Amino acid sequence: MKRFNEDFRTKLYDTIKEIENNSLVEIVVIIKPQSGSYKDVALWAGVSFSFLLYTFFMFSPVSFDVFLIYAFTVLGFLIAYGLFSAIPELESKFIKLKRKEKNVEIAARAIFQKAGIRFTNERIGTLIYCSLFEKQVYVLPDRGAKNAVPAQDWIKIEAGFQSVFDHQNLAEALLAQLVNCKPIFSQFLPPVENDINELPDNMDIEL
Amino acid sequence: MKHFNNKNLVYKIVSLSIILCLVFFVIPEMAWARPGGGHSYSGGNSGGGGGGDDIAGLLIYLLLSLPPEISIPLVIIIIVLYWLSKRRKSGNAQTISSVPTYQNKSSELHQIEAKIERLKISDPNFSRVLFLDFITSIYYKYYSNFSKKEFKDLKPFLSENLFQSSIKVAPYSRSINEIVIGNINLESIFENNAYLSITADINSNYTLNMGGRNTRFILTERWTFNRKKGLVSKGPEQMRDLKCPNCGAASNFSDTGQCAYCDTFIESGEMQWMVEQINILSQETFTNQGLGYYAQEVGTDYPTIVQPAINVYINQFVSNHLLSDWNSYWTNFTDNIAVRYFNEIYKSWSNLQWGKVRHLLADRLYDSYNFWIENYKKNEIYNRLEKINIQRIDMAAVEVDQYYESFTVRIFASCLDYTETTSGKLIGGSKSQPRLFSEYWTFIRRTGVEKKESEFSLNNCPNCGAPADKMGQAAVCEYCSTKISNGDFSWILARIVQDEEYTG
Repeated sequence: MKRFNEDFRTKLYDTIKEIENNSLVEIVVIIKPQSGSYKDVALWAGVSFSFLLYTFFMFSPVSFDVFLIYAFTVLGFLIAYGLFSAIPELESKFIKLKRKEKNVEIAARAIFQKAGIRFTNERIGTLIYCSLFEKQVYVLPDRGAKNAVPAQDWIKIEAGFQSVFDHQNLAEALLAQLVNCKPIFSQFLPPVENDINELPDNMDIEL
Repeated sequence: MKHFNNKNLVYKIVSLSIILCLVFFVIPEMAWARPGGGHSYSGGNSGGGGGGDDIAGLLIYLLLSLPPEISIPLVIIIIVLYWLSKRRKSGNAQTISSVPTYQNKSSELHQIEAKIERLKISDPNFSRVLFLDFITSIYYKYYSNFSKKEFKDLKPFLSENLFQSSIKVAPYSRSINEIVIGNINLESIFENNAYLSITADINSNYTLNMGGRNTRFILTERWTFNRKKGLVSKGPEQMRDLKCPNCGAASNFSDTGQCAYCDTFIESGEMQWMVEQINILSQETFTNQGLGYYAQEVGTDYPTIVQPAINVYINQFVSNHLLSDWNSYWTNFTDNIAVRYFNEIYKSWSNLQWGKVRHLLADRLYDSYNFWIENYKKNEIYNRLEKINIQRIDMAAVEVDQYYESFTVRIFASCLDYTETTSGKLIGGSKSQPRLFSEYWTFIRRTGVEKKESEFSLNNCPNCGAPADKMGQAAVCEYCSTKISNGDFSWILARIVQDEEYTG
C-alpha cells in the first residue's frame, strides 16, 4: 500500500474532482489490499504438505525415528501454512479466478451499500473498487449512471481499469484510467445547473 | 486381502495424523480464545486469544529435540514466515479511498476563501457568522414546522420544488423535535445563470416522532442556498430570525408567500437567501453505546490549515483597532481569552456543568454540546478531562466583516481523557496515559467592540458585570436582561472543530 502515498491520494481526489466538475457523475474510488478471506488455502496447503511428508516417512525405504516423523509432520504443516499465509503471490496461484472475482464483487457491492453511494438523486454514484490481492477492479455504477452510459463504454471502462495491473506503476495507471473516463462521463452524463456533490467525503467504508 | 488391510491401515493413520494436526493447531486457537477478551468499546481487534504460548511451547520442544543443523534453519524460516504473515495481516487492514488529503483541503479552503472575498466586494454586508446564523434559524424552522401549518411561513425561504415536495412528504402523524445543530461548514460557492449559490454541510441530530414513537437520528446534510445575483445581505436582525425580507416583520406568510403585514408577495430568492435543495449525506440512528468510545487520535500531526493571505486580515484587524502591534495583541488574546476559555470550558464539560459557561458560548455550540452533556447525565457517566496542558496555540484564520470579527486558533493540548461512571468505574480512555490532541476553536465578537481582553472576567456578565450565574439556556443575563451569546460585548466561542475535520 506504500505506493498509494499522500501524493497519490491528493492526485486521486483532484482527478475525481476534475471529472465531477465536467460531469454529473459522482465517483468514489476505494482501494483495498484484499477482498476475501482465503485462510482455507493455507490450511489445505499445510495439511497436504504434512500428508506428503508423513507418507514419505511411512513408505520411505529409510527408517526414521518416530519422534522425527511426528516433529516433521507437525513442522511441515506449519511451514506450508506459514508460506501460504505469508506470501500472497503463492496463495494467489492456488485460488481460482472465479472465486476471486466473486469475492471482489461481494466486497464492492457491500461497500457501495454501506458507504451510501446509492444516495444520489439521479442515482449517478459510481464505485471504482480496486482489490490488490485479487488483482481485480470492479466498477459498480448506480442505476442512473449505468443507463446513461452505453454498455460498450462501460465495457471499455472496465477493461481499462482491469489493465492497470499490467503496468509497473499501478498508482499512476489507475490515475491515468480515471483520466480516460473523463470524456465518456462528460459526454453521456454532462453537468447540470446546481449540480452539487451529493456524497460525503468521510464515508463509512469499513466492512 | 492383506494388501487391502495394509492400505486401510495407512488411510487410518494418515487421517488420524491430519486430525491430530488440526486438533493441535487449529482447535486450540478457538477453544482457548477469551470470550470477549481484549475487546475495546470500538469492537476493534485488540487483544488476541490465549493458547499461543502452548503452541509456541510445543514448537520449541519439537525444535529443541531436533539436531541443530535442522532446527536452526527451521527456526529462522518460522520466524521469517511469522513476520511476513503479520506484516501482511496489518497491511490488509489499510484502505485507501478518495477522501481529500491535507493538500486537497488546503487548496479547497483557498478557493472558498477567495470566493467569499469576491462575494464581500459585491455584497459588503455579507457576514459568515450571520449567514451561519441564518442557516441555523431556517434549519430549526424547517424541521420543527415540518408537518405543521406554520410550515407555510417558510414559503419565501424555500424553492418552489422544495416547498411542494416537503409538504408532500410530511404526514401529520410525524413530527421532528429536539433539533440540535453541531457544525456547519461552507462547502462551496458558485454562480449559475441568475443565482448565487452556497452549499453548506450541516451536522445535526433530531428526534423523529412516528406514531408516538421516538427515534433519534444523527445526520449530515448538504443544503444549497440560492439568492438572486447582485443582492446585498440583510442586517443581523433579519439574518438571525426569519422575517419578511421586505418589511422586516415576523415571518407570517400565506401559502402563496404573501406577507400578512406588508401584503407583498415574496418570491423565493429574490430578496433573501432561499433553500434550493437538501441532500442527506448520512443518517444514522443515535445510540448511547458510543458515549464511552475512544477512537484513535487522528490529525494531531497534520500541519495547521492557515487561511490564505492571513496577514492581510491581521493588518486589517490591527488597523481597525488602532493597535500598536499585532504580536502583543496576539499574546494578550491567547493568554486572556483562548487559554482561559479552553480551561474553563473543559472544566465545565468534565463536571457536566455546561450552564456555568453559557455566557462564553454561542447558541449553536452550547446546544450541540449540551446534547452530549444531557446524554452523559442520563447515563450517569462523566467524560473527565484532567491535567489539561496547553502546549501551543497557532493562528489559523482571521475574519473581519461589517458585523463580526472572528479568530480561529488551533490549540494543541494534552490531558487525561477518560469516561467513568458516577461510581468511578472506568468505561473508556485512560486515567494515566495523557492524550495529545488539537482542535480548531473559532471565537467571534461584534465588530466595534473595544473592551480589552485583560479586563475580561470569566465569571461576570460582560455587559453589566454581575455574576454570570443566571444566564439560563438562552444566555440572557437575568440582571441586565441582555443576550450575551451574540458576541455583542466580548469574545464568545462559536465553533470547535477536530483537526482531522477542519477545512476552514
